[in-house]
Amino acid sequence: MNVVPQSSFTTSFSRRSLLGGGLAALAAAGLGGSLTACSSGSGQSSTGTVTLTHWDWWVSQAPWIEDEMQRFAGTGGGAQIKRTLNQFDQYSNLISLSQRSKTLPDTYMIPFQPNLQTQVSAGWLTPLNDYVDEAWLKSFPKYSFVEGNNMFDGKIYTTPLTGRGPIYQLYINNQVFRDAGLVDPAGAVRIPQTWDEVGQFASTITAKSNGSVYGLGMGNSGGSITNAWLNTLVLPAGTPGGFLGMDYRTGRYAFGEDRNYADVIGLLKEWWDQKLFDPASLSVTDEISRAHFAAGKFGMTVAGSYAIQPWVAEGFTDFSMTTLVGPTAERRGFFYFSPGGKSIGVSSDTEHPQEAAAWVKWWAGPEAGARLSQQYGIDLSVYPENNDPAKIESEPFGQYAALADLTRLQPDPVVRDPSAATVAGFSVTPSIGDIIVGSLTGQVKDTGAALTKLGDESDAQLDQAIADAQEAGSGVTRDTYVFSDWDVTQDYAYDIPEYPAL
Amino acid sequence: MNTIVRHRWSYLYIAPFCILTAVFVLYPIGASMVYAVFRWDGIGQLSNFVGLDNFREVLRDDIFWGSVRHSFVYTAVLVPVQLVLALVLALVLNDRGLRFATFYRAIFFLPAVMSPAIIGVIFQLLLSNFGQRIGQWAGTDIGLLSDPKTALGVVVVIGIWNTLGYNLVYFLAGLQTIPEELYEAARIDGANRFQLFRHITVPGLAGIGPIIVFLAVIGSLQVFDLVQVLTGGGPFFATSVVNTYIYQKAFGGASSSGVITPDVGLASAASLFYGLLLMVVAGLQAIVMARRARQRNEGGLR
Repeated sequence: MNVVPQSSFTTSFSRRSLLGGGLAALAAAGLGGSLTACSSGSGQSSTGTVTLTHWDWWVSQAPWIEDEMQRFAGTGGGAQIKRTLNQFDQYSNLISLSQRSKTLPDTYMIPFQPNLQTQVSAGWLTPLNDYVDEAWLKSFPKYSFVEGNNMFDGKIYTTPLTGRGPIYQLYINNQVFRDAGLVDPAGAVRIPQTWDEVGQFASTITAKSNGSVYGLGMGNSGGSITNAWLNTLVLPAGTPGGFLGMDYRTGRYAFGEDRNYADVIGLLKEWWDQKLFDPASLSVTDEISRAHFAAGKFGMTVAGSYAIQPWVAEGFTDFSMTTLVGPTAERRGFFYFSPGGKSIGVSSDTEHPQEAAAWVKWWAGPEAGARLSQQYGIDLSVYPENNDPAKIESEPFGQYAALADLTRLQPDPVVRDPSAATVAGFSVTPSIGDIIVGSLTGQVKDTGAALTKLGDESDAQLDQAIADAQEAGSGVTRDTYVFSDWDVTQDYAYDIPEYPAL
Repeated sequence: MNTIVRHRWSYLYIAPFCILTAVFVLYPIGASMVYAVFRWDGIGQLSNFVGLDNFREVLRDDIFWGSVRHSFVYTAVLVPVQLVLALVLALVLNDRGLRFATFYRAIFFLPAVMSPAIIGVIFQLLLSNFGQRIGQWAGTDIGLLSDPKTALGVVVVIGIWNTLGYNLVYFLAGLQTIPEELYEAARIDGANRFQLFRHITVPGLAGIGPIIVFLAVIGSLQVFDLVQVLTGGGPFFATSVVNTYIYQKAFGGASSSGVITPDVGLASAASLFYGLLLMVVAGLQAIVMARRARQRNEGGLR
């Protein structure tokens, strides 16, 4: 378990001599280029135009970002934006490195690590309060700014950008379904509503093609797609923890206690053993798998909404989607979100906080949000009025927007007690994704025992993380994680202001 | 001091090497020793001193020992097969009568200069599209890289193909140091091809051969990029090698668990422990090589 550093070993020994030198190797590995991009870009030209440096990791969203950069330079505030696209899995390290060298970009997408609370307490970010007013605040939906999430000590550090939508969908290749005869009397493709139907349809596809087309497929070489399958199948069964496992009704990890986990893994194993999955599913990347899906190699796959835009760009639009496919057609659970939301913030190293804050406001504004969802079809906007399927240009993305109500607000320990943000993250190995793969391949013989062990170890790790946080002064306890009154089919009713005071 | 001044140019010439070694070899080793006694995610400050806990955790971790086993299996299979292949190819390509020898050398060396990331994508595509039939011959119908029984074998085969070029070049260099006159004299004495190989080529390679073996063994025990891009250590750690284990612990990132929290302290402990293990292996090799060299010299003197 990793602990967010708290205190004393903070001499120049640790901070400069160790880190500075140790990171030289990373710089040699090519990370330095990004730092250079940051440090050299920001400034003011001889003509007086401010150039802001901006970092993020978004690839498929690049057309929208570049459009907004141009619009902002033209009309939004006059500043030019110099964007650096970073590699996702190195982004936290890069931001951390740039912070140490005091060359943070003017604005940057908030990395997952260290968490925002740590970034704020270490002084990485400039609060937006001096640059915004109440009208701006109230232009966002309620519960967009929440203490412990994107606010600390009454100061706002970042804003939500994207709206609540299902994180994963079950995509259906319409042509494969039509070829297998999986259409209703009117000729419309049949959409599976239950676990059994997914299995039956997959079996039909595989059988009718004589094995040349598979019912199901995925690309788990990168390791995380089995989690997407798990969430799509286990959440509607009334298991709110999904692949993260935490059930806030009890405040415990439910991998071993909640029967649905074993049932879904057993279901996937059954489909795997029946050879309904493309055999390459565990060895190709998600990207390759999605290309195979578009090419009709299999009929159903699970992916996020990020899959839509690349398919549309490649001319593949003959697909349908659904999500939250459970044991019955009645959904007993949904995709869960916490209030608040994070996107980009203004760094404390900026020499142009006014312009940087203007860029953040532009980026998260309703017009940019409308273009994000309606014109580019990249993601849902935080402003619900932007997500009307009728206004969305891309028909497939409109289908996705229509699923937006399959989400609910969940309780959040950090909203209850912001000091819970100091509880460090941890990982347990083998993870739930590892256990799924191991079950499919037969390497994990006793799935139930593996799930119980995972749940127990996760609970033990959380206990230790809480103890470490308490030692550092946090008032968090295990009870902070328990919301016994939560009805998982409804939005959690928060006892916090809809809008904070500025 | 006078000596330093007198030889200042020598010191100046070796300074870049010394500086680079200090910065990129000695310093990281020293820093790792410090990191290894902290619980640290690599981003904040070092504050949580845990003593030797990281080492204990590594030594108790079945996945680590599985990774060690896979690294040694990879090496034990790859090195002999690759060296035999490289030697045979080098003998063929060293034939002065062979036309287009330079072209063939380039072809065989080409995989060695290809990016492992590209190799990973290419082989994933190849195996996903055409690997099923091969898989059935190999006794699996779920994909060669998806089946824990075949995945490591496939990685070894691709590894042999990928790095064969280096050993081929080393052997070619070694073969070209053997005087042609020795072969001519032996032929005049009536030696056949096998005898030429046995009594001239093999002794002629005795100097460089152990070094090639040494480099191949150490290089294979440190395999990383090919495994990372081909399988990421999966399925269910069936191809995890020590360096992918260290990488995944150190950098976290997306994995089968969704997001793994980095644990630089644990990764450093694993790295130091494995480094010691490699030093032992290298030391044993050095002892064997020295002993054989001594035996050769003594034999020569007799």
